[in-house]
Amino acid sequence: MKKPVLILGGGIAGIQAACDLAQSGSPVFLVEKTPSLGGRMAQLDKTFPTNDCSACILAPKVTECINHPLIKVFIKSELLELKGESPDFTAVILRKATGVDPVKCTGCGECAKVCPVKVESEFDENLCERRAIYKPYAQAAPNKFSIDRNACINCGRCEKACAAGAINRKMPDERTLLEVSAVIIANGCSVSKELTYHFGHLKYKDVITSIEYERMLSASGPFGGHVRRLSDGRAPSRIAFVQCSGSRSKCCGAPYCSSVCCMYAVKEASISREHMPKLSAIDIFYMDMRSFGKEFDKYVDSARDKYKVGFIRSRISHIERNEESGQVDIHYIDGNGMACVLPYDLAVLSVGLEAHAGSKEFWKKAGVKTDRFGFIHTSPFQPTQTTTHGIFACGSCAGPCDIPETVTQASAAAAGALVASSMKDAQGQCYFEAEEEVPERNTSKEAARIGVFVCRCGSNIGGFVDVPAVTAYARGIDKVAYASEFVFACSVDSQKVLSDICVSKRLNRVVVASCSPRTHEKLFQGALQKAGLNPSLLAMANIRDQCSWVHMNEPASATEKAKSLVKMAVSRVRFAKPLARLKIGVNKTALVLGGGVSGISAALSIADLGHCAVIVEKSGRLGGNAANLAHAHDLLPAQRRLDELILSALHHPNITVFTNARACASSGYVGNFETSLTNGKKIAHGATIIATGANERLPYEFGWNGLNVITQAELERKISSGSIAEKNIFMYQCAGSRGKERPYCSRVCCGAAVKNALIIKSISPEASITVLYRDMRTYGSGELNYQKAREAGVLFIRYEAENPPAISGSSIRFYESATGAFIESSFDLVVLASAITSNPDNSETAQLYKVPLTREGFFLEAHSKLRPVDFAVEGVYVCGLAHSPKNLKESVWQAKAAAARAMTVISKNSLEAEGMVARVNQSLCSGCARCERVCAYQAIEVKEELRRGAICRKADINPVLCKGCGTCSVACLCGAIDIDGFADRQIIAEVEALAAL
Amino acid sequence: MTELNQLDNTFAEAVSKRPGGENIRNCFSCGACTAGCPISAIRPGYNPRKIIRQTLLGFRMQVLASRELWHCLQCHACVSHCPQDVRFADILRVLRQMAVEEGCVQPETARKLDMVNDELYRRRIEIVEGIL
Repeated sequence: MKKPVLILGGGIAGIQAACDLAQSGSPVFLVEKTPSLGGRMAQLDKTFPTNDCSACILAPKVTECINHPLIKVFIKSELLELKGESPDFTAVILRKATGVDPVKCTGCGECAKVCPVKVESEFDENLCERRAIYKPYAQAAPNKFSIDRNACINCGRCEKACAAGAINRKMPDERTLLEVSAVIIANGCSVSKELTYHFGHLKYKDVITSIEYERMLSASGPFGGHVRRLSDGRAPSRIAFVQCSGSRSKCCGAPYCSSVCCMYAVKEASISREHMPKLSAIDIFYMDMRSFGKEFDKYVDSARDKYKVGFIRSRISHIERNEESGQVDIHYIDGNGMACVLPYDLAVLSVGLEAHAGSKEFWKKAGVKTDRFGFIHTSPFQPTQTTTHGIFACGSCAGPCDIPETVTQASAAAAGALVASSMKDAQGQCYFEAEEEVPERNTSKEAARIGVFVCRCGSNIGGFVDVPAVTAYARGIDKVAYASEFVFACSVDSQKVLSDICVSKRLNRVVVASCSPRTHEKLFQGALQKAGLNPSLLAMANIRDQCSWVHMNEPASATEKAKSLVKMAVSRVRFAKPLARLKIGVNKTALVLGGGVSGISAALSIADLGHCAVIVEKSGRLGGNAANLAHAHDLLPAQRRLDELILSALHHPNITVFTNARACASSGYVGNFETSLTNGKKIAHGATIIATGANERLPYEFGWNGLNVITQAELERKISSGSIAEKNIFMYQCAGSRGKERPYCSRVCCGAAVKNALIIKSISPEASITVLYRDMRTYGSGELNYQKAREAGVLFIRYEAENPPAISGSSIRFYESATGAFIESSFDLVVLASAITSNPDNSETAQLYKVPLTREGFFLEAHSKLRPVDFAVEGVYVCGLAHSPKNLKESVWQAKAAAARAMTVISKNSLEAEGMVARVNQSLCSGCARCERVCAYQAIEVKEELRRGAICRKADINPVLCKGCGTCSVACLCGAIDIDGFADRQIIAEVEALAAL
Repeated sequence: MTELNQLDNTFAEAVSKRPGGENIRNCFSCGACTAGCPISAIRPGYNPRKIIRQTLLGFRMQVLASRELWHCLQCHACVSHCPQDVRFADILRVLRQMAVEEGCVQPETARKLDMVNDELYRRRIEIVEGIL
């Protein structure tokens, strides 16, 4: 076994890193300070730009993390001390007593019902109360209660109420020593507490923070999703969002930009309109709209056009409560420079992100450098690596970032930690003991003997449904050989009993009538496996959610419904067949398309882990767009670092490089691809990483001539060659981006303009530099460079999209809105921030690997939030500019993330296909190809074959690619497609059982 | 139409060299100074942000000769609202000084204008006492 990795923080960053490591075979200790996983993301109502429910998309990841045998989660724990060096760290972990035995606790909640102590709920931002024994939120995982010792009065009522005997109030804190190979810091950040005083937070009840507002909007939050004023409980009719409350300020809060607030405010504003269509005003007060991410500008447009959100460009000066109207008055400046006041019922302050208090001092002890704000320092070319070897950082602990970036960084950090973890072989890991596999019994010749187990779930089910009556009823159903009840079917003891009964009664099908299969199916399937039964011989009846919860006031009907559900499950499981999971071999090579910084970084990550990487580069040299860069955004020269990167790839024994070559044909699927190159080579590979980059567009329509009107890349080359002598320089932003033709932000240009301005100023301080911009999008620490540039005398002038600057000859003309002046000036040099456009080869590459593109021709990932480098098609990953415009550091992050994701495939010796797959009845198939068209996983191909002299078209499903979603089965007009485990026969039997009642 | 090269690009530099004018270049034009200004609230033409922009752009004469320069109450609300520590109220004092030095305002007029606030404070107490 590999040596474990320690991950600090159980938010989305820690969860993603843990899952990636575990899937690649590295054990993980996941240390979380609070009683549950999920972190900040669990608090959010919805996420942009998809408006998915945050908890809903997070829950499957949390479940995967908690259930993985190679991940050991320590809740209510923290790192006290870190000794040694990589790969031999010793971590001292303080495990605070939860007061509840996690093995016995079933999460039924009886304890909290009797607890007399009420305290403010941290999870709900103090908007409501919780008990001293509590679970932070309904879906919290692990689903265990814990005692808040600061609040507990030791009355002992919970102990009496706990039927499982799980409570131990005398449980001591423990110190645990963990031997680990690497450490990933993923403990997130705090929301800024030091808010601008003038904004009235804590002074007025109707001035709240954005995180409080998220809890208000959440359907599972303290107000059930109904927004209301804290002062009088009334629903608001005018809501204002105030940006940069605690960010971009030298005087109060933080001078950097918190990066995420513009987008979350637009999201909250849009969701507010969905919740409350009758709101008379939803306004956002902002300075620069920083919607720099993929598809973000379109999201802002939809907020303005579809949701009628008002955007007012002004930092507000202050908020004052109007005692007569009870509203809060916001003082701002309008477009004409007039001081104005608007009244609102509710003001939401967009609070920024800041490092946890004390992070700087704590990490100093481990040699990990932080910036002056406490964010962990990393460099552009090695963005996950901290200043201490073997310690990695990801997510907002290393600087403000949103969820997709956090997930990307987490995967990237996992790639780094995997190297350290693979260096050592650690035996005798008591936390990760593999369980003995019980050989499967062949039940195919046996008559059905079904066992039914009905769960009381303490009083959760037992209090509403007559469980003995349901059990007795089950005993009478045809083919049921045994039926009994459990107090808690999910407890460890019950699982053992269930397995034993399956063996002793020779049962070959099992129905568990309890809660949701979503959370508990895997658990009960495990119990079947221990009894030598195939896991697909289980069916669940959800009599908790569907009976005791929804019919809590009608116990008699609830019981009748429970009986029906049990009978249906019995009828379905009767026709269940054991499903075999197909195993396929895996080729250990990764193919990397593109030899820019992204491609090289991805290949190096894979090669460092002992696997082979093949880089295929279209041009004659490696380096891609970065070869143009004079400096990285840390203002240090880039070329030496790029050369080092290229050399390490060229000299790596596990990396093969083909230049002047492209992929021209590809076949196969995850684990077993074969790609032909234009140079005649054929590459067999298990994973594919698309890092084909993007191009800087030449903006002819803006007067580009390559001489005195040039692009940013041309400026970089000019700086590199030392030939920058021009004294009167204009930088023209958004020259080709954010327009009708290309309605997206090219993201890197504002940062690049500020960086280059600073570099030119350092070379020739007398140079006059004017930056013409629409919104300065110097997000994150880029804001500090923006500040430095202003201080260095660089002039920033905003222009409106409707009134863009015009270049004619050697003069430029523009409108300055704050002074109302039209200004015309001659220039020596104009630098156009031209658009980053997608690689024209993308459509061909997309077809080769059956992956989708966005309208702009960039690769479209599987899920913009949680699967930022994956595709629905397995084994193919994307990184760098091929995904969307991004800077060098962000590209390297993504490259390493893609490598980590590829490792989850090629680190394995074999892949197991899903057992529940679609199957085609060849004799019924008409070859119409409807199934092929609807399959999201490209698993179906209609093949032609010769049968009795005639050409026959038949659908062929690749079981390795099939996810068992069932879409094809629905689309099939002939009824030729059936899903294993959800066979028509099973469904019909289930429906008939209901009809026969 | 103003031609930028005819603007005085030494103006901002000169302001920033004087005590009180040091931070003028910090400005990112957010407008908080104007939004919270009690004079702007009653006098639409009075716009601190515009004065800062004009100074940065080099509209030397327009700034120094403007009547608005003398409207400021010196309450420093702008200073407390500014997120970038530009200290507009102090910049304004620098600009007034320069206006006198460059002959845009007679020293005698400037002295009179300076005394307005003293008069104001006295009047305020008289009015308050009158009401009470």
